[in-house]
Amino acid sequence: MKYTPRLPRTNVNVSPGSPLKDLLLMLTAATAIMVGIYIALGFAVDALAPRISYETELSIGRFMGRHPILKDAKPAPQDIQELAETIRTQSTDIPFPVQVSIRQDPQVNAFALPGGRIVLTSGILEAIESQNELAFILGHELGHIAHRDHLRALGRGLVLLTLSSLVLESGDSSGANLGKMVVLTELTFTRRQETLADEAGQDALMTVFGHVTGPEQVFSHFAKLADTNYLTRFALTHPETQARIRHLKDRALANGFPSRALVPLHPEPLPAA
Amino acid sequence: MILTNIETVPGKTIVEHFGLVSGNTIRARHLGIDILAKLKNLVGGELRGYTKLLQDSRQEATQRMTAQAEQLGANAVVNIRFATSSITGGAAELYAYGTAVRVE
Amino acid sequence: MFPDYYFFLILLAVGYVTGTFFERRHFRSLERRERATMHLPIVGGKALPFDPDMAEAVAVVSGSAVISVDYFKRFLAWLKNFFGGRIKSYETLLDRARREAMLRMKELVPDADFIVGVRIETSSISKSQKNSGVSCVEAVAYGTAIRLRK
Repeated sequence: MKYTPRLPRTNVNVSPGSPLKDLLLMLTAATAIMVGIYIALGFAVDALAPRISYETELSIGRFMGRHPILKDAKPAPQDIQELAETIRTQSTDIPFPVQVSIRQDPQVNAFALPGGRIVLTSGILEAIESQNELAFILGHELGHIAHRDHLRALGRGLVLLTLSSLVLESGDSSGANLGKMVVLTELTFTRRQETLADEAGQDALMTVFGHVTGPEQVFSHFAKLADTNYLTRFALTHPETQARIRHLKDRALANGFPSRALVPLHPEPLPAA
Repeated sequence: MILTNIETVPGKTIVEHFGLVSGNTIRARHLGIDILAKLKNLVGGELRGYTKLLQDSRQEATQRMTAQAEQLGANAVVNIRFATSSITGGAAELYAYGTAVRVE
Repeated sequence: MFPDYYFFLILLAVGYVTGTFFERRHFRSLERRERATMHLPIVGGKALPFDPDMAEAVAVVSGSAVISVDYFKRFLAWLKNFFGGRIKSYETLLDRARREAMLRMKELVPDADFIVGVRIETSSISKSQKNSGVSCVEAVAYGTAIRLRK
C-alpha cells in the first residue's frame, strides 16, 4: 500500500473561540448567580432574624467576643455605661444588659454587635460636645439592637460563608482566592433601618432629657472630620443625611417633642430620668 | 467512515494510508453531577451523570478523529485505540487514535 | 484585601499573556516540523506494509514531552467544574504535548522508512496529593522504526 503524506487543514482537537470570551461569560454567569442568591438570602434572613430569641443572640454575642472590632476595645467609663443602661431600660424593651466599649480609632463611628455590645470609637467621643448627642448615639445603636438589624446583616454574611465553603472545598487554590473576595461580615444597614434607629435615638432623648435637641449636632460632626476621611465629609453633604435630619424634625413636630438647650458633656452629672 | 480496531478492514483491501490521526476531548462535570455524585457516595449505585459524561466524551473524541481522517482523504480508520486520563479534579480526558487509510 | 485580590488578578493576567505567547510559538514550531517530517509514515498497526526481508535496521524509538499548565488555564478549568462542558483551555495543552511527543519520536530517526506499532500514552502529573489540580501533562509516543534496504 502506498503512503500519501498529507497534513490536516484544520486542527480538530482544538475548539474555536477565544478563552478570554469564555472566561468573561462564565464570570458574568457566576456573578449573576451569586447576586441572585445574595438577594434571595436577604429576603430569607429578613424574615428569620426577628425570630431569633434573645438567648440565642446572647450566645452569638459570646461567640463574637473575638470580632476584630472588639479586639482593642476597652470598656467605657461608668457614666457612659449608666447612660446606656438608663436608655435601655426606659426607652427600649431589650431584656439583657448592654456593654459599651471604646475603640481607639480617629474615625467617627459606632457599631452594634450581637449580645448587646455597643462599640464607640474614640473619634466620635472626642467630636461630640453634649450629653444629648451621646444619648442620641447610644439610643440609635440600641435601636438597631432592639430591631435585630445587626443580626440580619450578620445572618446573610454567615449563610454566604457556609455556602461558599461548601462549594469551594472541592476546588484548588484559585478557588480559595475567589472565596476571599466575597466580602462577609459587613455591618451595613439599610436606609429604613437607619431611619428607624434614628427614631429610637430620638425617643431615647425624650426619655432622658425631655426634649430632642441633639441629632443635628451629631450629623454635623461627621462633616467636621473632613480632613481625615473624605467618606465622612460625604456623609453630611449626602442628601440621605439631610433627609434623616428632616425626618427627625418632622417627627418631633408631629409628636410635640420640644427642643431645648444642650447639656454639655463634662463635668455635669447625668440628669435623673 | 469505517472504523475498526484490528489491523485490517475485513473484506476490503487497504490501498493507501495517511499516517496517525487522533481526536481528543476533555470535559468537565458540572455542579449538578457533582452534588449527585457526592450523595451517591453515601448510598451507592450507578453514577449516571458520570457515565453519560464519559460516553459523550468518547463519542466526541471518535468524531474528531474521523473528521481529521476525512481531511486527509481517508475513508476508514484502523487500529483504533482509546485512552482515558483524568486531568484536574473533575474532568476526564478521552483520547482516540488510529491509522487513517483508504480501502476499496 | 489588597494583597490577595490584586495578586490573584495579576497572576491571572501574567498566566494568560505568557501562556498564549508560548502556545502560539509552540504551535508554529509544531506545524513547521510536521511539514518537515511529513515524509515519514507512522502506523498504529503491527502489520508490516512491506516485505520483512527488506528491513535493514530496526529500533524502538520514543519521544516524550511534558507541558506545563499556566495559572489562567487552571483557573478557567476550575470555573468550568461548575458549569460543565468542554475545557477548551486544556485541549490545546494536550494537543501540543502529543504532537510534540510524536515529532520528537520521528526526529530521532530522520532516515527511517517506517515507524510501526506506534502507541501514545498520556498522563497528568500533579504536585498535590489532593488531586485538586494538574501541574503538567506528559505525553509519550513510542514505536518501532524500520529502515529498508535500498
